[in-house]
Parts: sequence; C-alpha cells; structure tokens
Amino acid sequence: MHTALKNKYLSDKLRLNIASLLLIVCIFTLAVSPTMLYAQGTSAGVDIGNKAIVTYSIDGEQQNPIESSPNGNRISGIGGGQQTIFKVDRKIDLSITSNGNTHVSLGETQAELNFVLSNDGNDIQEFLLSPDGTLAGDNFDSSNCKVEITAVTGTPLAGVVLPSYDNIMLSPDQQASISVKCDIPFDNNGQAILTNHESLLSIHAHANKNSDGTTTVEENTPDSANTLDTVFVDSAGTDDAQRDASHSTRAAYIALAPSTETPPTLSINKTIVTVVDPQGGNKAVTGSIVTYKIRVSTAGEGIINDVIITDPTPAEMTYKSGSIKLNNITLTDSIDTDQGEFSTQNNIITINLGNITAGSQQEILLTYVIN
Amino acid sequence: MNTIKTTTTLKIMAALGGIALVSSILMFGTQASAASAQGHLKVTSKVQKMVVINKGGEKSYQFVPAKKVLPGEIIQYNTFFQNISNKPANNINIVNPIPKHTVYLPNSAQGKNTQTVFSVDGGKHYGKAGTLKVRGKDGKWHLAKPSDYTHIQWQYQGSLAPKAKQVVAFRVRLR
Repeated sequence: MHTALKNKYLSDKLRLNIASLLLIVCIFTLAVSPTMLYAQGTSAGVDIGNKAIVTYSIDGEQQNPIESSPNGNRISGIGGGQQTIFKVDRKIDLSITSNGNTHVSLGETQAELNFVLSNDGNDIQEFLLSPDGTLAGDNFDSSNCKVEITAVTGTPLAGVVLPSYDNIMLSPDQQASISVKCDIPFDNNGQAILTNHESLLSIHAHANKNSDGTTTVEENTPDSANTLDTVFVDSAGTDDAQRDASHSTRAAYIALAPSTETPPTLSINKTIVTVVDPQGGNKAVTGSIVTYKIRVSTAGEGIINDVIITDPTPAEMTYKSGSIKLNNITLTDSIDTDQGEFSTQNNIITINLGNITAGSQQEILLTYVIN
Repeated sequence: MNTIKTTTTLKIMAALGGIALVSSILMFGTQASAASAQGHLKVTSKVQKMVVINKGGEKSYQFVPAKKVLPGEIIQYNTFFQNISNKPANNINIVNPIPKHTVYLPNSAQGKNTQTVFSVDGGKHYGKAGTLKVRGKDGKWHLAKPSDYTHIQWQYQGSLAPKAKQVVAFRVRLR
C-alpha cells in the first residue's frame, strides 16, 4: 500500500472507530448507570468488555477489519464482533476498630464507647451492629447496651437518616462513627467492683443486606461470567471468623472508683524488736544495737497507690548500714532498683511500697546503734 | 485503480456500519451486526482469571473461567485468529484496547512471531514499551507506565497460511 493511501485508509479507519466509539459510549451511557472508581476497586456489577480488532491483507490488498467475539467472529467490518464480557462480582469486606477504652464510675448509665466501621467492599451494603457486654474473662458485665450511628464520612446514601440505630447503609470506602452506650452496675452480683476492674464489650458488625434489600449470601454454586456473585473476603475479628461477612472488635469499660462499702484502710505502727548491748545483755547503753519493726497493715478492698514509708534516724542513734529488710528480704542502702534506700545526707530511710492491694500486710525491719 | 477502489469500499463500509449501529440502537440493544460479508479470518477473544497458587512458598499459576472476579484480580485475554480462507493472509495486525477499569500488567503481552507495540493516546500512535511518554500533571513529559497504556498492537510477522491458527495474549489487573 502507498503511504498516501495508507494514511487515507488509516484516517478513514480512525473516523470509523471514532464514530463507532461514540455510538458505543452512547449505548453504554444509556444501558449502565454511572459507575465510580473506589479505593476498594471497581464497583460490583460493572461489565468489563473486551474486543480486539484484526486488520490484514490478502493478495496484497488490505481487507476490512474483523472484530473478535467470545465464540469466534468471521463477519468483516466494524460492528461485526461482540464484546467478551465478564461481570465484576460483589466483594464483601468490612472492618470495625475501637477508639479506645473508657473510664466509668459505678452505677453510671449509658456510658459510651466509640468505634469506626468501614465498608471495604465494592458495593453498597447494609451493616447490622450488635454489642455484647457479657463476655467471660473480665471483672463485671455491662447491660442495656444501645448502638447509635452518629456520623458517616462523605455524603450519606439516599434514605440514610442520622443518627441511625443498629444498622447503617454504607457505600464502598465509606466509614461510620459508632457509639455504644451501656449501663454500668454498682457491683458484680454482690461482689465489689474495684478501681481498674474491667468490663469487656464486643461489637459485632455484619454485612446483612445488599443495596436492593436482598439478604447478603455467599454463592458457592457454579455460575457464569455474566452473573453477579457475592464473595466474602473479610478477615477474622476478635470474636468472629474470617470470610463470614462479619468483623468484630473489643473495648473495655474501666472502673474508676472502688465500691464505698468496703473502703481500703491503712495503719502503721513501729515497735522495738530487740536491744542488744555490748555485753550481750538488753540494756540501752552506748553501743547497744536496737532493731525496730514497722508494720503496715491494710484492710478493705481496692488498691492503695504510692505508699512510701520514711523513718528519720532517731536522735543519739546511728543507722546500721545494710539493715533494711522488707518482708524478711534485705534491701540495699543505695538508690537503685529495689524499694529501700538510706540517705546519708539527711539520715532518712525511705521504703517505697508503691501500689499495694488492700488487705495485705507489709513488715519492715531497721537497725540503729545508740551513740 | 485498485487503491481507489479500496478507499471507496471503506467509505461505503463506514456508512453501512453506522447505519447498522444506529438501527441496532433503535432495536433496543440487539447485537450490533454490520451488514458485511464473511471475512478471511475468524477472531475469538477469550477471558480467563489467573489464580496464584502458593504451595509451600512455591508459586504456580492456574487459569480458570472468569466467573468470580473481584477488584485486584488478574485477568488474561487470549485473542485467537484463524485463517478460514484458502489464501495466505499477510500484514496481520491485532489491536486490543485495554478494557475499561483494568490496568495492563507489565511484560504480559505475548504472541508467537509478533512485534508488540503500545499506545498511550487511545490508539493514535504506537511505540515499543519503554519508549512512550505521557504528559504529567506538572506539564512535563514522563516515561509512560504500563498503567498509562490504552491499546496494545501485535504486528504479526510473515503470513498466516490457510487454516493456520495463532494466538496473542495479555494480562490486566482489575481496578
């Protein structure tokens, strides 16, 4: 073919292609509702078409192009072939995450925990949310839990009214803010709830309905390339399995105040255990070694925080180095990782007991020498 | 004379093709079919899904019918072309637009006795992979990425004898 002719042919071909392309675009626009591209991928239900065009010559003469079709096309000319089509299937994927634990006072009504639900699938989906405040393995249970969907990212879908309760319709990539409110008991079936006691709450989100109102079911039966199938691809949550169209996570209510019925108490007393004089007797004379016992007694329930015992060296006495014992274990005098120290600057013994559980007893032994 | 005849035929073809398409729209989506004669080739486009099987760290690939396809999955298209005439066919070019919503997978275009070229401008110009350029958002020209490709063209070398059948293939990832 001459170059000029080839150009002419190509320009004709181009015109043809543009013409048919425009027509195809028109048909496409008429037949298919507008589709959007999401981070989660091409929307469910979109038909992906493919058509190849073959040009060739016979006996040196350029022939009309032939388009492809799924089962083989031999009709020449644009429009002779057919698209080879498959339908993008429905991907069910979701995730729910916690915004953190919350502190509650005993007897508080409708204490709030917050979560974020994300539609990670490629279709509009309705999600059902169910909380469970009665999990095992925690200190107490919450009750009367209510779920409220307070906000969504972007524009809410048509028909979605916020706040919504128990369920929410989300488009692909859309997220919902979930508020769960439960009642906190005063006690755990008669037993005291103490500070830092936890009540676990599990929130379970389930893709239960498709945008057309049908129940979301995974199809396992063989189908064709042109049917819209539903496939579960979600990962396992704290309280659900993978590929079950569900996701779950947990958060905790943490009790702030101990029960007032048995408040913790602390008492301290100091007694002389032994006096040993230089002659082996028990007289308090110069050179006598005096051992004291400090007893820290606690009662009630709860945690007593930051307990520090200080003992200034008595007048006319000198601290006997290396003599601090806590619950019969010798502590060093230096400032280090153990709980005891003796300051040579101000002659004070300090024992840091930290946080102790109410009801426990601590015993400290200290020894001084009479000057 | 021969050459003029070809162009004229094409123009008529264009007109006929247009009418056929318009009438098909009027018939509410009946399959478009040009009132054209049987060609010399039979062209078939087949679609399959590529599944990666990981057996103890060793990867293998399996091709299954594209029945269940989700975003992110890999699709292979095979285009078969068979000479159904009794004369050899020459200058065979296969042009395949990259399907909408998909991205071409680098180095996936294959075909025996073919040279493969790509277009990044809707099929107006073609060039070898790695030579094409696209204008970026900054207004400068950059080397095109496979995701910029709009069309693939296989230029079949030599002639295809009567009854002979060949295939070209490429892969895409569904967005």
